[in-house]
Amino acid sequence: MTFLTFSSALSAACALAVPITLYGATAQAPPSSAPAPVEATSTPASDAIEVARTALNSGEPSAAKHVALATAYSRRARETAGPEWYDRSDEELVKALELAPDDFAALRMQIWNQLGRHEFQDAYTAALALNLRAKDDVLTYGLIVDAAMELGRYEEAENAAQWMLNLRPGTPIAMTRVSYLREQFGDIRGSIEAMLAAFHSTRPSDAEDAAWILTHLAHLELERGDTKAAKDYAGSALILFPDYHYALGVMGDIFEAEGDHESARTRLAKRYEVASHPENLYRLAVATEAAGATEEAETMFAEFEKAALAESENVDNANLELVEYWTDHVGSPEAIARALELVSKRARRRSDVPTLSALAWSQHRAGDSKVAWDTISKALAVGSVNARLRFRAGEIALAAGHPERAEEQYQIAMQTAPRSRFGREALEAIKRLPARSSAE
Amino acid sequence: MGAWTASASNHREAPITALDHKADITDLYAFVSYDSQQVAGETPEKVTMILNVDPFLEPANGPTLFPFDPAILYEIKIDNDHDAIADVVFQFRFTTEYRIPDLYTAVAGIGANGAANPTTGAAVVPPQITSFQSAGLNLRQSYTVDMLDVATGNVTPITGGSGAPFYACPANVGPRTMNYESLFQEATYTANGGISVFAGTVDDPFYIDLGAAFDTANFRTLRSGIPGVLTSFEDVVVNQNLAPDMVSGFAVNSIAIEVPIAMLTSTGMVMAPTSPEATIGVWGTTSRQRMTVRSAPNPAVNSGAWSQIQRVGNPLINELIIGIGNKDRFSMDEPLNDMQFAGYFLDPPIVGVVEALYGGALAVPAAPRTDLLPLVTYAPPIAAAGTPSGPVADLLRLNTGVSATPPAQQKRMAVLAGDNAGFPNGRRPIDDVTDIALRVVVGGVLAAPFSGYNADVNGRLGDGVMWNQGGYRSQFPYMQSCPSGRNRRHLDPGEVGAGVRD
Repeated sequence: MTFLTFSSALSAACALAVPITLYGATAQAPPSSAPAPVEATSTPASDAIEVARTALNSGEPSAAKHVALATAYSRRARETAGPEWYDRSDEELVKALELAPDDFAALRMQIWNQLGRHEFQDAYTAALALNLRAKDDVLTYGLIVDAAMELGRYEEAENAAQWMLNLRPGTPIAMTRVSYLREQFGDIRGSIEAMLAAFHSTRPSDAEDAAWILTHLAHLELERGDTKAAKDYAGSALILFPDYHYALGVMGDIFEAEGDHESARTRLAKRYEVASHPENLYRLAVATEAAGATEEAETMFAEFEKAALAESENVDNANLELVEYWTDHVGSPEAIARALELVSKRARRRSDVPTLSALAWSQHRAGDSKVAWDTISKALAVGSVNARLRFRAGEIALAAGHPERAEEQYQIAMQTAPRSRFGREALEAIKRLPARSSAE
Repeated sequence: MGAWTASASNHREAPITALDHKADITDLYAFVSYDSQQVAGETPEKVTMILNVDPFLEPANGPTLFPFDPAILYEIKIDNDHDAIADVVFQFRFTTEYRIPDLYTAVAGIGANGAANPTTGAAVVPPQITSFQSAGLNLRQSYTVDMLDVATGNVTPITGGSGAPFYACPANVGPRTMNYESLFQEATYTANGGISVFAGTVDDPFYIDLGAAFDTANFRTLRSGIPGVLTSFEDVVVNQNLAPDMVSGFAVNSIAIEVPIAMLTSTGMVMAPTSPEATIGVWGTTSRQRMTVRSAPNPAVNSGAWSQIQRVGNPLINELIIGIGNKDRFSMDEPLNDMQFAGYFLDPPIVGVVEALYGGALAVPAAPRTDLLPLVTYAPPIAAAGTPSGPVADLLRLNTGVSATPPAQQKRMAVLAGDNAGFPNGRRPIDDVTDIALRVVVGGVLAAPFSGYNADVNGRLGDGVMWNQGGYRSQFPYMQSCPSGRNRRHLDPGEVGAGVRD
């Protein structure tokens, strides 16, 4: 599970709540009135599992009781990054549907699990069908948004998100999706604003939901190069939910951006310990290499490659990381060819920005920069101002013979995150651009 | 056993409007205008459109009465080229003023001279309210009317000849405080372009045995011995109810506008009924602005684009046809997008419910219900043959070429009774849309013949409420006066004039 996969696990759990103190977009410690940290043995999802099991074991069984347990299991999947919890969830949903074959909540939960397992096309189709049954159900629109975003259907995602707001303005489940869409459309400030609105509406007792939102705020601040603010948010998330794998990952990214590779390694190692997925091992390997432990990093890369290849055909995979590894780390013509083949296969199913970006980069690395420029132009048309995307677009444009376009892209990368690695590299790239003649 | 219906008028039919009373549209009417001098076959000249909002106003309630909401944009929309997109829009906005801020009530008045302090002789209570300038009319609402030509974007203000504002008629508090009738007359304005406008609190013209309807169709058993089925004799009763009109004695806020037909058709002319251009589609909407900032103790501030809260076309779609899990989306979406609800139109779940309630004794037509398509497309018998059907859309379709029926000859069952100037060809206040909906949607009278169809059962479904207890005016704005708050009466089951109590 990559962080930027907008898991639908946020949906049903979030509820409007008494507003809680914002920890701050400036460098402030969390106030003393902050919610108590979650004990390692008790999490919102594990507590919900216990309650749901107790309910199931008392009184008559019902579809609703099985759905409640299924929901708790799915939430646990997000807490732990453990996909086995989706299997347990699905078992409960089967029981629910045996009791009530048309149960709306059970069918909706199945779609949630499909999203969690990255079965995006199936989830999208199912969510559209479910939406026809109840066009006022805001959660179903949320599932449509999530699936559509992963598939690159941004217009459909936006339309569904707008209906969430039309029907029930300001709910956290809507505002988080608004935030994500705004980020994709290049409005980082608006994205932060929406995510803050979601945070203010989240119950203090929903510690994992709040930690998720804070982690995403950290990511957004990192996107625009404010590592201080990002660290505050990520730190707050870890206070709320210790060893939260998403927050550990973002914290690792923050330290890397600051050049503190050892600290990055520590956080990413812990993240890998909690959530031992190949993509997390890849990030750890990158940080390890940056910290100078080359031999150790190479061992990790090898292990990553093996694990990633083993799950490459699964819908939930580390293919984007594998592609990046082959194009940027290995870099041999054979590796680049493999990368291109793998990402092209993915691009036949999905046209989201990360996929298009990876495809374009592979095409560029394979020497076909003109085709790469056409590909990345599709990604750029969505609007994201992500510094890495824009820097890559600049490199591709330059290689494709469009120095003016290259400069435009470098400028955007710099404007988005001037102090970030890609912002700095963009500045250096601009300096290297051939001077334009006065006739231009 | 019992026949099923829900209120075929939209009184609180969607979750969102159950929480936003002021934006709740109860009824939309659209018909070729008539008056007491109407002659059969007379060439149509004008169309009246009435948008009623804010249901079940209790006339005795106070002290602030029932103003229109200044934060709502009320609109009546007309499609005249059969694409389910508005071509002409009438927009109504209200402004409230409190003329005596220290007075505790919205209205006060007594006699010709008012009442004075017995000791000092200082005036305390104003004289009876007889006009919009009367001192005792504390809460006074004015409103603007604009006509929008969607294609050009031109907005034409509708104004009275004198330039004075249009005032909304307040509720009828009682005979001491006001002369409601004089206010009602004054509130009926003749504006530029041959247009007439009215807004105010009036008697709710809708009629139905509402309690029976929502007690899972627990309709009264009348002379047929079958609940919800009328005898042939009962079916032609006029000006009498065989069951309680549970809307009796309640008021509603009404916006009425009468417009020359030439302003509404795509040709700019009155067209023959056989011409496709004669048929227009009408619907009403209420909208609020997207942003509300509340910062007590200051009033809330609204800003931003308008966001639709509710819409009404036909009198039965959202109420009777659309499932409750879809009502809000239906209310907020455009008619153009109604294909998403086509499943409901072609196979209304209510039909199965009634079939179950009757235990199979009532034969119902099978899906797909193509006989219902004229309600949601431009098609005969409303539109002329050859009219483009347009997209599936809930619009109240009115053939403006069909002459109005003189009041004395109007039949509550309208088209089903051979009176082609009524529902579903537009809708007049007198039309018994409850019984029409029962017979058309559930009884399948337009789908007949089919196996088991019985004209004396399927064609006689009804709630026993045949007319509005308060009656109607026979000229613009057609709405009856608001019941007196002091002396109003709600007719209950078993009371005289309210039919049986079983």
